[in-house]
Amino acid sequence: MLQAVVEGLAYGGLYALLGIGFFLTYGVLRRIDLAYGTVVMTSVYLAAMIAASMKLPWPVAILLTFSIGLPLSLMIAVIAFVLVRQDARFSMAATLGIWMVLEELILHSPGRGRGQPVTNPFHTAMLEIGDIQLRVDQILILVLALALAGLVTVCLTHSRVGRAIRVASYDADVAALLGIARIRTLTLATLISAGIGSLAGWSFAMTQSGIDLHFGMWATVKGLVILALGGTRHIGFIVTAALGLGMAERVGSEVIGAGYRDLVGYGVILILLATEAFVRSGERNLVQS
Amino acid sequence: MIGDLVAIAPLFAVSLILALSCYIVLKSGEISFGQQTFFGAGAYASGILTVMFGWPLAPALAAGACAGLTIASLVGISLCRLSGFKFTLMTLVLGEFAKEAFAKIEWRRILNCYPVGPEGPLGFSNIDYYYANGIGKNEQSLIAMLAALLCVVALYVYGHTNSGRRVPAVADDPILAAAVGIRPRTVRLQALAVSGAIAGLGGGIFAHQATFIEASNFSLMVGVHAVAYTLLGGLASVLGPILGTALDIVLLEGLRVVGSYRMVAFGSLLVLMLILRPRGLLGDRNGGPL
Repeated sequence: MLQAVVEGLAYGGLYALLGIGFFLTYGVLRRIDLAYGTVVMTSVYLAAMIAASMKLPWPVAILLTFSIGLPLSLMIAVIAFVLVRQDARFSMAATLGIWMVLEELILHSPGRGRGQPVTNPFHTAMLEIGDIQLRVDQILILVLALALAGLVTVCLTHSRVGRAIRVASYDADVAALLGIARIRTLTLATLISAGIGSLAGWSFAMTQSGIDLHFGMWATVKGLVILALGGTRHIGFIVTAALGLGMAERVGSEVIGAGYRDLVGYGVILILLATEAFVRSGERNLVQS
Repeated sequence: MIGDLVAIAPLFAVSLILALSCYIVLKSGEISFGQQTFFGAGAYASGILTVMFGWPLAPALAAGACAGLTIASLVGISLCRLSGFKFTLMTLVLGEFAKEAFAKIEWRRILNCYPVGPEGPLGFSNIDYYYANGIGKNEQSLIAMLAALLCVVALYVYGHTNSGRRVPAVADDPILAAAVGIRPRTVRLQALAVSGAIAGLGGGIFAHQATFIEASNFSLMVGVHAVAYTLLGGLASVLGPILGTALDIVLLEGLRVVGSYRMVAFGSLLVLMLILRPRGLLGDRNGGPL
C-alpha cells in the first residue's frame, strides 16, 4: 500500500504540471480553454513525428514541441479570446471548434493519428528506498512540477511582470491607467502557460514512451478537474489537489483493481463536486436566511 | 443524392435528438457536456430489454427514456446546485465516469443456446431487433425520424406549459425568477430530467440502429458535438438545433462537400459563426419560449 501511495504521489507530479498550466489559463488569464489539452497534444505529437522521421535527439524534440506549441497557443488565444468577444461562454465554445479542427488535422497528418514514439532517456532508471521502488522519470517530473509551482507563485506575487499579468487580465482599464502594455503582458502570460503545457505534454509522453490522439481530451479533462478541486486562489492548492488525485487514483486502483483506475478517479471527483455543491448551497441558504 | 440523404436520416435523427437534449439544458442557462451519459444509459437499457428479455421495441425505447430521465434526475439533485463553470465541469466528469462505467457493464444470459448481453469492454453486440423482426432500412429511418419528431413536438409542448415557460426565465435572471416565486433549482432539475429522457430515447434508437454499442460510442466528443450543433443553430427555438444538426450531418457528412475534412470544416464553421454571429444562425431571443 505504501508503494501505491508513493507511486501515486510521483504520478501526481504530472497532474501538477497540467494543473499549473490550467491555473494560469483559467485562474490568472480567466480563459476557459477547452482546447488546451489538444494544443498540447498537437505540439507534442507533431514534434514526436518529426523527431522520429528525422531521427532527432530528444532535447531537440523538446525544443520542437515549444516551437510548435507556443505560436499555436497564441493563435488560438487570438481567435477564441480576442476575435470572439461577446461572452466567455462563446469563447469556450470557440475553443471546442478549434479542438475539433486540430484533432481532425492530426488524423490527416502523415502520422494518421497513430501513436508516435517518444524517447524516454530514463526508462530503465529506478530509485530504491527500502522496500519502495520508484521510477526516476516520475520523480524528476514531480521535482520539476514543485519547482515550477514555486517559480510561478514567486513570479506572480513578487515580480513586476507577474503583478502586471494579474492586473492586465483582471481589469483592462486599470492596466491602462497603470501604464501596463496589456497585449504584450497577456501575450507573455499565454506563452508561459503554453510553455508549461508543452512541458507537461512532453513529460507525459516520455513516461508513456509515446503519444497518441487521446492525450488531448484526457489532459483537458484532468486539468479541469484539478482546477475544480484546487480552486483558483493559490497554486499550492492546485499542486495539493494534483498530488491528492494521483494518490487517490493509484490507491483506489490498488484496492479495487487496475482496470478501475479511471472509474475510481472520476467517481472520487464526482463525489467531491457533489459534496461541494451541497456545502455551497448550504452556505448560500445561511446567507439568505 | 436523395439516396444519400435517406441513408443518413437515422444519423441525422439521433444527432438531432441529442442536440435537442442539450438545447433544453442550454436554454436553462447552463452548458452540459455530459448528455452522452443519459444517451448511453438509454442505449444500454433498451438494448438489454430487447435482446435479453425479448421486449418489443416501443416499450424498450420508453424504458431507455426512463433510464435517461432517472439518471438525470438523480445526478441533477446535486448538479443543479452548481452553476456556470462548475456545472459544466461536473457534466464533463459525469460523462467520462459514465464512459468508464459502460465499459464495465458485463451481464450475459443464455438465449436460444447463445450467450447474449453486454460484455464489458468488448461492447454489446447482436442488438438485432430490426433484423430479427424483418424491419428494413427505410422503416428504420422512419422510426428514427419519428422519434426525432416526437422529441421536437414534446419540447414544443413542454415549452408552452407553465413549467417550460419558467426555463428561459430562470436562465435570464434566476434572482428575479426566485423573487416572483419560481424555484430556479427545481426548474433546472425538471429541464435536466426532460433532457435526460430525450437523450435516453435517442440512445435506444442509436443502439438498435447500430446493432453494436461500446463505451467509446459515448465519449466526450459526442456531447461536445451536440452542444456545438445547438450553438451553431442558435437558441431562439427548437429550429436552432435542427438547423445546426442539418448543417453538419446533411451538408458535411451526407453530401460530403468537404470530403474527409468534415470536422475541420465544422469546427471552422463554428468558430467563424461565433466570431461573426455569436448567438447562432437563428439568434437567441432572451427569455423566449422553448
